[in-house]
Amino acid sequence: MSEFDHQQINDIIHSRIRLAVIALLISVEDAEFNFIKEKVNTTDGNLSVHIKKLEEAGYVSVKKEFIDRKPRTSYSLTKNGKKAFEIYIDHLETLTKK
Amino acid sequence: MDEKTALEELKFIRKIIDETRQSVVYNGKDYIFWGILVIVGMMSMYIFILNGIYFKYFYIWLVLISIGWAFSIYNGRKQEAKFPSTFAGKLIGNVWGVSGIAITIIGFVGTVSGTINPMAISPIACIIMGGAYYLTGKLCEANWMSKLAYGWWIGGIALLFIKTIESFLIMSLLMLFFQTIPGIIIYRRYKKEIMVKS
Repeated sequence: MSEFDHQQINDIIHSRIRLAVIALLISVEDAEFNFIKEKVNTTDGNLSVHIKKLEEAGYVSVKKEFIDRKPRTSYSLTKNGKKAFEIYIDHLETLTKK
Repeated sequence: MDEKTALEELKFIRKIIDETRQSVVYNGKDYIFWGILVIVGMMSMYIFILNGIYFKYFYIWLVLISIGWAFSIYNGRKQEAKFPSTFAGKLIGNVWGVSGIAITIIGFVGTVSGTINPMAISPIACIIMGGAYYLTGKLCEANWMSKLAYGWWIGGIALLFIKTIESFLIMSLLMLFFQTIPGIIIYRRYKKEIMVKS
């Protein structure tokens, strides 16, 4: 088993649901709440909590608008979020090469 | 975290990215709708001229094209609300938007001003649509769509030489085989995708 410095792990990304949300958002420009919920396979409440954490960390930005009089909440990855995800991936790749 | 866990995490990330890309689908309704609209317009003109009924055919197109744009805007907004937007998706939307605007300007302003012979509209539209199909195919990595461009370009060249009312029939056939049927194929794939998801 490889030795590993736990300080280097980004705790915000290192959660199954938050990682799934970020991986999903990296593939698109923005995604609607229900689409993310369906893809990540979680509940409204759970997803809201995790997205809130990502928002507080500055990794995800939220956009609320009305389309055809229906409210639409969409999320996108910020520059910080993209950078943090890249670092996280680099870190995982380093670990696999050990 | 050990090497095995890191590998699993990477696989998980890859899976999410792949699934998201696959689920960003287009419903193809625009292709079908526009295909049918143009076939209706072309066939109407063919029948009217064949039966010696003459009037300003411009108005048929004004109604049909207005309906087409209204539908495209409505469909676009519905898609936007349902599916996430991607850079490629936005590019494809712009390719078709720009092509549609170009054809509309040529068709309406070009003929009203008298600069463009009405018989030239179909071949010009074919050549522009060939470009739009080619780019769409490349952007969504669908070679079969890019290949449709050759059909449009060959059709456009043929229509530059055919200046009789049969050109309306040829344009209808082009619309059927290179627009409506591909639209139905895209729509069926979309329905299949929706069914798998539900």
